[in-house]
Amino acid sequence: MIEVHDLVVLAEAQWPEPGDDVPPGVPGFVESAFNPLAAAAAERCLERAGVLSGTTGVVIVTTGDRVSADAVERLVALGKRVGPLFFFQSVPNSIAGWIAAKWDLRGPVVCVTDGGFDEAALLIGDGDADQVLIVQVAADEASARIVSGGAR
Amino acid sequence: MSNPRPVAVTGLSVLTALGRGPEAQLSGVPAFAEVRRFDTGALRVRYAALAAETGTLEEELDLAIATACSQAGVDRSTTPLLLAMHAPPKCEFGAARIYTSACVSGSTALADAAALISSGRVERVVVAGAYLVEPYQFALFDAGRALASDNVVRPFSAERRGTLLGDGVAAVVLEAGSGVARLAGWGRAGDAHHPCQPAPDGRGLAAALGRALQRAGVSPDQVGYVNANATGTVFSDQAEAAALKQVFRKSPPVSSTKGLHGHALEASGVVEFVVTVQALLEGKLPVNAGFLGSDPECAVDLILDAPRSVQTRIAVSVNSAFGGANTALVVTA
Repeated sequence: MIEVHDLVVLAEAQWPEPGDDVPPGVPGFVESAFNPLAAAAAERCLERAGVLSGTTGVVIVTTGDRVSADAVERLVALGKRVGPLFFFQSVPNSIAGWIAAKWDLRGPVVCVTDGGFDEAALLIGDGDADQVLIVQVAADEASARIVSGGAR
Repeated sequence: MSNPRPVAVTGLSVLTALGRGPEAQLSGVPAFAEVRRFDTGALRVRYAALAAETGTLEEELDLAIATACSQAGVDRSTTPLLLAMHAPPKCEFGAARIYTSACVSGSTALADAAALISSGRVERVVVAGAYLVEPYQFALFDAGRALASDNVVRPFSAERRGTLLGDGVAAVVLEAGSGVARLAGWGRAGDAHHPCQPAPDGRGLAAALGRALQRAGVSPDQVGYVNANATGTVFSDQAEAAALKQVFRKSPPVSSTKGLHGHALEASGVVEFVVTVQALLEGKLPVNAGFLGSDPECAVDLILDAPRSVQTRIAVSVNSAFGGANTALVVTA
């Protein structure tokens, strides 16, 4: 197994960084900044990492997209129908899948409320991923790191 | 590196609309009915599989953990807990980790627990998943036109129209050593295809299956049952059938028990793992309900009409989710 302190950070990025404004929109994702923030931090991190060999997993760390959840709760309370795009963005897996598809990351997709480094170490140590893109998403910012198991 | 330790199943607990306890899950009669738990007046589809006389989500989760730990004879206060839920519970359960990976949350937690035990990091883990049908996910699935407009879940069948939600609360205790069954192999892999559609060739699921079988030291022709993910949706079931075709030269008996107890979302991996273990323990493979006719794109050996007897005591439970996430768990008993 790999311990968290064995992990090597190959690249890291945030959104926002100095000079950033709102993150670019992501086709198919509406209303909330959650998914654009996750995508912007992840893509910046992947660009900095360059070519990755082997299998890369994606771990999203979040307590959830509160803006989208609140919008759905309001509509349901009013007895109104929910827009179909809210269905597709109702779980953090969706933006993980968007990132994975664009960057051809074929490792595990896992979403947890905390413990992203622990999860990454476990997936690498267990052999299902050679490196993991960890994306931590909060209300108005996101950070991303790509970690590997380092020398073993 | 030391040899991997065997991962035993020592405690099981489950609640679905089919009833309480693992024994209730093999009844073979679909449990869908019109929802009265909340107002469905604004929705296109109004059916789900609801358990009778449930407590709150947290009460049911607490009971499931207590029951599984009691069966295993372990102290829950000193046993690490992994939870699979849409959002953290309203009261503190002391979970070491909460998985919110949609429909692979529970199965990913089981795989992770097995990895921790197998590698000697921990002696035991309790994995629990909980979902009780509520208005918000119901409205979202209805909005996405993912629910079956004919009120029946028809996994792998021609004329399938979608899925239906179902209550599901389950807990499993895994320990190093021996128990009623073994979690012998596990795998997790992604499709890298689309935010919410599966890769049509089922490549991620095939990779997860291959990894799980390899870890278990099991060849595909030794597998006697697949508890499928099949949700009754057109593209997902096709992709899963493609994955099964890639991995198995000859299809083992297959059923998706979502046609009986509905889709328990984040909890489904734990619920279906319990069903799979119970099927092996009873020697009785549950039916794939709701079947109307063959879909040539889903050419797997479905268990239709009546349960079949177990031929080999090796089974696989597979799950897939939005994001192209896939898992496979190999169970032996």
